[in-house]
Amino acid sequence: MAEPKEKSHNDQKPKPRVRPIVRLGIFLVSHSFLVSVVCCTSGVLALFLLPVLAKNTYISENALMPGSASPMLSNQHVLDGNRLVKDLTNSNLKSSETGIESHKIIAQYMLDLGAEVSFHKFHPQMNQFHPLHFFSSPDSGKIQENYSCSSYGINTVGIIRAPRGDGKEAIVLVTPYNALKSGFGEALSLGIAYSVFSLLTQVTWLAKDIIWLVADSQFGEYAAVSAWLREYQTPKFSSLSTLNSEMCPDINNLFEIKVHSVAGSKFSNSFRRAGTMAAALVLKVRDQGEQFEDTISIYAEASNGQMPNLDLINVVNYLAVHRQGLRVNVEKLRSLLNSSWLKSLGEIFESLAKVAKTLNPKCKFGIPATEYVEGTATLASSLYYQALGVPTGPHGAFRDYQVDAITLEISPKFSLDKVWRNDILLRGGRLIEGVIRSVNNLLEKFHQSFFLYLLTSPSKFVSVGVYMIAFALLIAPLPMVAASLYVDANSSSNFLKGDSSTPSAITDAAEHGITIRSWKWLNSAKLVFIVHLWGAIVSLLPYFICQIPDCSPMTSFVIWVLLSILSLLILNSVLASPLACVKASQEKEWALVKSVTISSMFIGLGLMSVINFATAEIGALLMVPMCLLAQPLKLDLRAGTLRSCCRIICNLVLGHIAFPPAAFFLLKGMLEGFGSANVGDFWMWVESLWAWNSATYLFIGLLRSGSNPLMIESIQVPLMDRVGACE
Amino acid sequence: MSLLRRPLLVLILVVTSQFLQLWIAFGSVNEEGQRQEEFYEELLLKPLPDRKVLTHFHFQSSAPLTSNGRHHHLFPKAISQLVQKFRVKEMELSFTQGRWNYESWGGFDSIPSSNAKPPGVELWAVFDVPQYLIDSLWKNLTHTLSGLFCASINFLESSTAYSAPEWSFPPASGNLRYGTLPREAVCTENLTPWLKLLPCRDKAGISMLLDRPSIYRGFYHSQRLHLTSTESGSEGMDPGIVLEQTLTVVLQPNSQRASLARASEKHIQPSWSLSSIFGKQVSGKCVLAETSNVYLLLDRGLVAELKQLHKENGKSAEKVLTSENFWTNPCFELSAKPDRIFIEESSLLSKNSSVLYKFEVEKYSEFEPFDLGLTWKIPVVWLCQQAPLHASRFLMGSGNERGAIAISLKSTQSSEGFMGANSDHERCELRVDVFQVVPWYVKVYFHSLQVFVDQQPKAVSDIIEKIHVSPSKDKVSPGVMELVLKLPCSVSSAALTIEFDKGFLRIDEYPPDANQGFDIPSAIVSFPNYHASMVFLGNDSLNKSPLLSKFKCLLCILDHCLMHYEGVLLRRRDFLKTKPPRKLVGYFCCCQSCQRSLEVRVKVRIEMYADQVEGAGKRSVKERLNGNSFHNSIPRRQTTGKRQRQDEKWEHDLYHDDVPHVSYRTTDARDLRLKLQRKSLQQVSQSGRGALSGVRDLREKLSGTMNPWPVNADPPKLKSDLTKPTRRSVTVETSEPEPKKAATTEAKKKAQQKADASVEGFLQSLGLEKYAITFQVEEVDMTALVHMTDDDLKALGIPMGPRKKIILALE
Repeated sequence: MAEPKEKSHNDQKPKPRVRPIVRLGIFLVSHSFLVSVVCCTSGVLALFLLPVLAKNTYISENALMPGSASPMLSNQHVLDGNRLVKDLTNSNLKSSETGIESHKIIAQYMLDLGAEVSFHKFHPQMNQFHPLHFFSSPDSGKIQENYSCSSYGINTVGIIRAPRGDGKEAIVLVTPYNALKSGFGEALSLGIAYSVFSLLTQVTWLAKDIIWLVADSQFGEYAAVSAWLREYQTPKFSSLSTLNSEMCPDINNLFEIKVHSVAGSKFSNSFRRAGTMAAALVLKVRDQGEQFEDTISIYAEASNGQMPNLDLINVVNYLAVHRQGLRVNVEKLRSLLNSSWLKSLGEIFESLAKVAKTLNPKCKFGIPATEYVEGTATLASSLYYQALGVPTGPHGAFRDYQVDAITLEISPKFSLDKVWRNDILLRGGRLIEGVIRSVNNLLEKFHQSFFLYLLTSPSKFVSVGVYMIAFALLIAPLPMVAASLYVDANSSSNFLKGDSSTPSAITDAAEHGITIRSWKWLNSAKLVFIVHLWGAIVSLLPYFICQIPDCSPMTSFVIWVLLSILSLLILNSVLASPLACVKASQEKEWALVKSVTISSMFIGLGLMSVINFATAEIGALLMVPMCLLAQPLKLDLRAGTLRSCCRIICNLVLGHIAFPPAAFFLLKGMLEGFGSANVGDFWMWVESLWAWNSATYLFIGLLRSGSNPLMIESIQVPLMDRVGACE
Repeated sequence: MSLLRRPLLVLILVVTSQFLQLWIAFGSVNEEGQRQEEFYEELLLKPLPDRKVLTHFHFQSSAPLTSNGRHHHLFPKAISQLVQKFRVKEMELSFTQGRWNYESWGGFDSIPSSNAKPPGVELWAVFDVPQYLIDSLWKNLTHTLSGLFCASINFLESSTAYSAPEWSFPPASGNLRYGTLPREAVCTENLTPWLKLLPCRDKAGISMLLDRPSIYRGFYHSQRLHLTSTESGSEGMDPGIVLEQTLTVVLQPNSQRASLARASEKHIQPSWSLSSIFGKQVSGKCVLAETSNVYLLLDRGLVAELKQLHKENGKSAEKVLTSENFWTNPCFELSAKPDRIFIEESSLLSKNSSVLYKFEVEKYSEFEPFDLGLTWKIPVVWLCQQAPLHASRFLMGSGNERGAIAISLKSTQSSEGFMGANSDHERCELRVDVFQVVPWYVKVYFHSLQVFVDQQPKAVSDIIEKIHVSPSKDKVSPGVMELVLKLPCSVSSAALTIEFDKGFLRIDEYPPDANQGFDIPSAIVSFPNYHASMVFLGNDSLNKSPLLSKFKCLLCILDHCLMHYEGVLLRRRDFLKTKPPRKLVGYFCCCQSCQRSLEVRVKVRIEMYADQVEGAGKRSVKERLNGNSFHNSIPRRQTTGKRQRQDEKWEHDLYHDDVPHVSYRTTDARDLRLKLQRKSLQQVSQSGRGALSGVRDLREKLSGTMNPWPVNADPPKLKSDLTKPTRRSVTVETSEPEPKKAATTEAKKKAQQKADASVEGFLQSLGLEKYAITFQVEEVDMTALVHMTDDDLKALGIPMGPRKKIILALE
């Protein structure tokens, strides 16, 4: 408090009245160390408090009215569904070579209901790395010339037109199905979908068309759904190499379905569309039930941390719990469930809540410790999957087209014998019916409820307004530290200058010097920019590396590392060499570099929090302490005190943790044990990231390596020392 | 005549006294020997391949234009007034719910070609007036219709909502206006006024079947009103108005049998009867109708299938459907004996012909009601005739980036047969017309039009023969695109794409439920070369049936090209920041609804009883309100006093600023009109052109209906105006202001205290309203102004030009 005031006293005698906000700023900047410690700890604490602060979900859109109508799905429909399941499992036994037979069966069943049926042939698209396509919507894909007959998938699509609707909107129901090696679960999910579908052909309340997509999952569930969506949303009219049905006898075979139904059903091999998609449900049934209860798991995370509207999850949750008596589950990090420190933290919060309650009986703060642990585990997985930016299921493909979608996975209680099967068919079918009916009620698109949230349990969420506080606290010290560093660098040089120069120095020259000095940060900015450039190059390198044919993950990783180091050295020699010859005080230079780095970090984190909050949060957790603690090793070594020793250790540890591969191994080791970790794994992980066009990859590439100037600097400072000595 | 009247006398005892009166009136017209008003009622039933039944009601009433002055016996007076007032040459209004399923209900008959309509309301009208008057007439017409049919057709008034297609609609180029309301919900409120136009309402005759719940339970229903007026001397047709009212309903008969025995009889078509699908029966015809018939149509595909079945059974195929013992037909059974059976003249195009059974309702009475039933005995599967190409339209792209509208055309298998029509040409071509309107907030880049034929990109000039594009103007007019494509006959698929951008809307331009998205109106895809014709063999008795003559003349005239209305597209907008707060939304909503009802009520009254200021472009509600009170000038105050007060109350509630309020209230209509007349007169005399006299004539014509309409003083003069609009010379007109001047002096006396307002109006009429304040300062009223000389005006400080104008206008 006193120091800056004194300084301002010294600088200008007629001191104008400083506005309080400026004074507060000056105060914070001058006490940046204390402030940053307080802010960071409170930021981390706030993050751990989030499960406690979570609110109960509620259905925000009135039009949804879940469960207000009694379910119409009867045993008759269940029997129909069962028939399909039986036929499918039989046909699997008969001809397992090609999946054609089972596609035919499904199509025939749909036709008998009076639906419009079409097949959609697709080729699985290679996951390709598009350096510039991270934030754009998916394009219609690259045309590949060398399609062969063997590598295609067939989606079966059935559409029910709403009897009196105007066909503007549609609801999509997706069941992944691998005709070649389908488990019983997949057949059962088809049975559930079929029973709902057969009900929906008879009802009069439909206002939106229903699309049932049986996605051929032999190339992965996501690939099939995204191929269909691509055709639906951005079709290519001029396909040079369309799949010629003459060339592939199998497909010809497929279209010889006998239409012998009077129900006015239509079969065509052209692509069929309904209107704008209002919502999509992906339905899966897990083969092995290991739960004590019939459970339904909800997967919601789509690419780049996008989430479907909370109302959709709410409707499913409400109907499953209150109508069908299913237990609803969201993904959680299992390893956290047993951690004792979390449990004790939960107990602390619980006891705190008790204390608060004795003080103020109205206070409804705090949750039981076990609930806290579960909430934290769910929150952590929620954060992790959002941060990863990789969709957790086929629903992710819909989110790319701004369609709200979730994946529901039903895991039945026991082995699926006859009785239980019917039970699951009935309850699952009624759940799907209820959700479709609710969405059908919607006049507007989903917009009432949250899009930015973290789940702590199926019925509890943390909204953007709450979780942003933790993040804001975490990154708040960054600008202050940057400012104080900048001020320090300037003032100390000022002081030095005043010392060295003769007292007869003209004020003009001093002013001139000040202007030069005030632009000195540009040098540091240049350094930071170079390092960022290096980061960009490093993150683009894999694109070229993966062009090399026949490369194991291990070798490509090694190539990557070598190339990265090489590029760093080149960059350093080409661009950074003039920097090395600056004969300024190293410490001062260091402070400026740190200040610029921290401010660029702040900007980067702030921007990322808008794009993908979870990534920014995790990034901030790792990097903010590193940024604040980083010091050149040499200076610390010189000092040799206990404090500086601690700082050296912290620096080294944090620097290594923040190095992406190291962080990856640490995380993996923590979750799965260190034995399974492998260098190649990291390459695979990175590959998956860019295959999904995850912005996280860019973030890691650019920002994380951008944060490395500090590390580099700490090595570089002694280097520069030597250079200085040479001269 | 007497023979005819005897059975009717029995009926007279049954029907109400109202009918008695009407009948007497009808008879009296007969005796006069004039060409009388006629009414026909018909019903067509057709089983559809997908277990549904198509019912098509067709009512036609016609009236000679100059029958009996303003009086009509059968023809709805509201319609004839509308035709006369707005000079409507042809008009079609349709209310539709549901989608016509082109694939399973057919796309090649006359019924889908003229009755398959886009969801919501569609209106087009051709006017018989000069170009520059059309827009104002259209606006007034929309308001009248919205009052008549209880629908928000008045939203078509705004210039952003309608368009003027050049040649997509054959009836008339240039004089046609077209507008749609894709989101209008259709309900009984719209059906009841439509039924009221029928002479028997829904109390007798075929229209008795119109049971509201069963109609609205249908999969598709479209009520249509088509109106043609021919003037004398044109095209050799009798002058008169023909009003065609059709109601097309697709219903699914609920068959109990299907539920009882699912497996065995699943494939049999459901049996139905009139009473089972409508819950009602026909008890005799509407006594006012000339003919009252019910037809059952078996289309070509079905007949061919039936013949095939017979052949398998080893019977002679030809006679089975037409022979006398048709109810022993092994395929189906009819519950009533048809009076006649017609077989379609087998055309060159297809060897199959459809069969038509005719039932005369006349023979049935209340004690023996007519209830046609069809019972299927064996499963039959057939296909409807398809249009040569199946069209679909969809939006491409997603999110807030650019998107594209794509229209894809796929050839249907059945089209080979029709290709023969053009085979004599060396290069077989299929002509396809595409008409698309896009709202202004969808910024279409017309240069980005791409055409793909058989999955190959083609140069636009190769495929498109004609193109007419009028780009949208922000907040003024929608974008219109009309295309004529020439596709090779062997085409299997074609696609058109055109890119668009999402326009920026101000916060108050969003609809109250903005998250619902915006509708892009249907595109119309038509195949003008294909005539959906059906010519039935039979004697001329068929000619009397308007419904069947419709079938017949399909070869010749205009509206027989197939129109495919593609489903309405929905565009979603994402609102992250621009969403108005909820409370505000509610406010907007309420505001809009009240505004709407206001507009409807006020406007309707204007149309029905009052005059309408010409040349006023788009007027705000406020103006309209005031305009209304302004036209309800003193003579009618007593009669409409109560409603007038309501109006004032609204005005008071809505508009607290009373400055324009007072000024409008105090304006004397006659003064203004007089001045206007004079002004135009002078212009005419100066320029010597006769063009403007037409305008004036029309204005007079319109003002003729200003009086409450039972007044009979006007018509003779009006008629002379009507018949000889162009022969009136300038000299005749110059003599006209004399009586009006007297009216002005009268008005002057009355309006002493309001004088300065009328000065203002006077100046406004000259376009010199900026000097109004000068006159106000000097307290010059109309009385003083008449006596003012050039010098006086100069003293006021009016420059030379305006001074001369004022003096010239005052003389």
